[in-house]
Amino acid sequence: MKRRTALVAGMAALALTLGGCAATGDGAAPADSTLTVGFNTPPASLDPLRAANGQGRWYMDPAYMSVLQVDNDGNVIAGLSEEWGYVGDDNKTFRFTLRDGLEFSDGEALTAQAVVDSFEYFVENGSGPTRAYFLGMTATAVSDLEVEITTETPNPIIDIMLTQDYFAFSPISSAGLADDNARAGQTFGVGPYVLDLDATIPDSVYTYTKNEDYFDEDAAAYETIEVRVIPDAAQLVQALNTGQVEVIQVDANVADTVSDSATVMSRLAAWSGLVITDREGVNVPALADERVRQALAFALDRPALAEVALGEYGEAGVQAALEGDPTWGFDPELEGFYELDLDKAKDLLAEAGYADGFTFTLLYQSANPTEANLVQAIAAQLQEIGVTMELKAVPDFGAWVNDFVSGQYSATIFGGVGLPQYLNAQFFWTPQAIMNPYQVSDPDLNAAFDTLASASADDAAEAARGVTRVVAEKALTIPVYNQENIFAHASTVDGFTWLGDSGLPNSILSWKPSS
Amino acid sequence: MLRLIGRRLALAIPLLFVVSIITFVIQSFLPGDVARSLLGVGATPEQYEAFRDALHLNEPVLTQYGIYLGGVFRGDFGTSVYTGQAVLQTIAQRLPVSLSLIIGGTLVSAIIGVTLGVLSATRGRILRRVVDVVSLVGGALPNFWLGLVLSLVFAGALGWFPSTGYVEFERSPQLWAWSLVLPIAALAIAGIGIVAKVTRDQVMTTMRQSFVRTLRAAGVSERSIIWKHALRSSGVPVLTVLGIVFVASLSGTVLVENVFVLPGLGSLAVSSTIRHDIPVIQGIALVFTVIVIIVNLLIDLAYGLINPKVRVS
Repeated sequence: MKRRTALVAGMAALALTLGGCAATGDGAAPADSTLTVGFNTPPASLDPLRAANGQGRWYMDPAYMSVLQVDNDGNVIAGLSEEWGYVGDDNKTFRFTLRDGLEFSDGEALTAQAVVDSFEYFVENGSGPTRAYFLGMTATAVSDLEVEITTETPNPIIDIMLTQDYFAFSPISSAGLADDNARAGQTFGVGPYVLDLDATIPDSVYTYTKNEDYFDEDAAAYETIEVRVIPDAAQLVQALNTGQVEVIQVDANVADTVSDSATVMSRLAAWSGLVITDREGVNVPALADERVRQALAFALDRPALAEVALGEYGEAGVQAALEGDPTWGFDPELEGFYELDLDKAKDLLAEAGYADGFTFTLLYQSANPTEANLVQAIAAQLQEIGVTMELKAVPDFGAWVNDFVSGQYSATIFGGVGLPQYLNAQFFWTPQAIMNPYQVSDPDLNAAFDTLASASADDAAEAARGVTRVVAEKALTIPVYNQENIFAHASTVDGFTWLGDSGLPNSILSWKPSS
Repeated sequence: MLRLIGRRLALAIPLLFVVSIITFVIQSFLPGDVARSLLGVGATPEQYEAFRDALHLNEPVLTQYGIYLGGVFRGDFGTSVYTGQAVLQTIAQRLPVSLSLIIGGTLVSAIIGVTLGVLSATRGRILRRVVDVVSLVGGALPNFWLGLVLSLVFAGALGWFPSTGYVEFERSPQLWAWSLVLPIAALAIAGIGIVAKVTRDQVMTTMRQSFVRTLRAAGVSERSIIWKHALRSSGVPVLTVLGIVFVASLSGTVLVENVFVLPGLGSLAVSSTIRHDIPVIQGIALVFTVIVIIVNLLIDLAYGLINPKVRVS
């Protein structure tokens, strides 16, 4: 009898325990001041030299403040520097002055020379997505707190390049610069938070705790920020719905499963399409002829492809720019520039001497289901004009990079986000661009880029549109669709909004516990 | 006993050696390039080659293995290519999660499986059918699928348990246990079925033996005969099955940890393999092998404790 009583008492205690626990998983906000964010991939690296920008900044922003910042409206505002501006009017010289008394999180003083050392190390050794923008830029300490930047060619957006999305001017302490290995898993910046190594499990949970020595006490709205890695899209939504995380990016396939209590936001964030790399016809002579590339552009039924790839979270796209900030180069007159017209496509091929079509190979990542669906559909549509697009699938990003830079493949699937066209051009089309492995030099593109580089602030928008027009008219890249980013956040978080006109969220540092 | 332990430990060394060679060779054939993945599209050819040199990726596979083995002999198991964290530290951070899951799953399989097995052996046909069904269903359903269903129902629809994540025991024993309920359930179902079935068959066989009649004639209570004498007599096969359940749980964690986003060695094995993080893959393979060796040794020792005849032989 005693045993049975003990068993019943034990079961009752267990039930009470379970009941108590269940209450915590009911979507309630964390009782302590902790922001929990869910993200589907771990950082490629915490090293600013290799870190990913975009949403990858959720891992970087807490610990690496930049010289300047972009506010929620897309304006450049003070960061580690309060004074900045061009010197002269040739867009080649720029100066900024650091705030006085700043320190890295490891206690080292932040001086102009430290910023310069960090920048030079970044340019010399970095391999991340933004490093290429800084080639040809020189930084010099002109006093303890003042840095002068000079560029070989005119650069109208130096202020933007000093902000948090570019990493080159998010300084790293000398201890960090001295230890390549440590930088991958620790933080060495000047930021309102520091990565807490004891509470961090790499690839799983990244915990940032408040940096008590940071100059702006109000910059850290939380005591702790936790970024949890949840690779599966459905589990990510479930974690939000059950209150385990407060902010997530949502995959379009599971967007309708987000709880009604959460706020869901979506906005166009990226264009994507066929990046034709072999534009000099090294492997496929036909692709050197702009009429052939235009034919490919006319052969695509973009609305159908966008539907295949993204459903309601995508739309047909025809230009390598998104609508938004004037510097992005969106040109309304280009809308409808390439609409499905198989007869015109065939005529263009015939004019170029390829009436019977030709064959080229496209490289893509098979692990990306959107891309995998899309390339099959594109191949089928191009077959309608006699062009055979063979598909070369690679399993992951590393393999894709490996094959892409090898120059064996004439095209790939890739896209761009809302960025100044000055930067996009250097990423995709200029002779030294990363996405231009054959180093093709197009005189029209080069001229448009030079015009943009030296444009005054008043002329910058038209000059950016000029680059977009050349890309479209010569079909250097053939956009197919524009894709929305979807985010959801719990009611426990205030201040989550878009970053200017982009489809990216504002800085994680702008989010606050709801009042 | 000491001789048994010594013999097993002596056999463990070549086994670890073979496992490390096989793991190293297999991963070297996987497609992809860790240097490209890590450096990204912006790396110059010089940076790429320098990085590959630093990781010894330009050396023949056997040379790479020799370099790795040299490090192991010096107590250096390497560092993760991606996180820069020492492999031993990475494993130490995640081992408690996996052990909680595996030991929890094996204990649940043992307690529920043995109880069900004994009851079905002694309480009639319906319970025997239940054990057959549980055994069949548990064995047939993949644990990751079961995990997804449990997560959808008990975390998503009912909100009783967390759908993802792990809470350290030191932070909150209550939440620690809570975070493990669904993963352990997903892992243990198959074990419960097989343990119950083996226990039932063994107890039924034992109950027909002459010593049981003698015990009954001597006035020993039925409960004591079943739970003390018959169960002990059936212990060796049940222990063998529990050893198999433990090892199966080890591989089961690879999928279950991914379903519930638990930061254990199983999920690390998956992510490290995808990213070609060779030192981490090697470390996990060695740890898993050591665990299997230890469990087998413990089971052998337990045989002796349960059945003195085994000790003598």
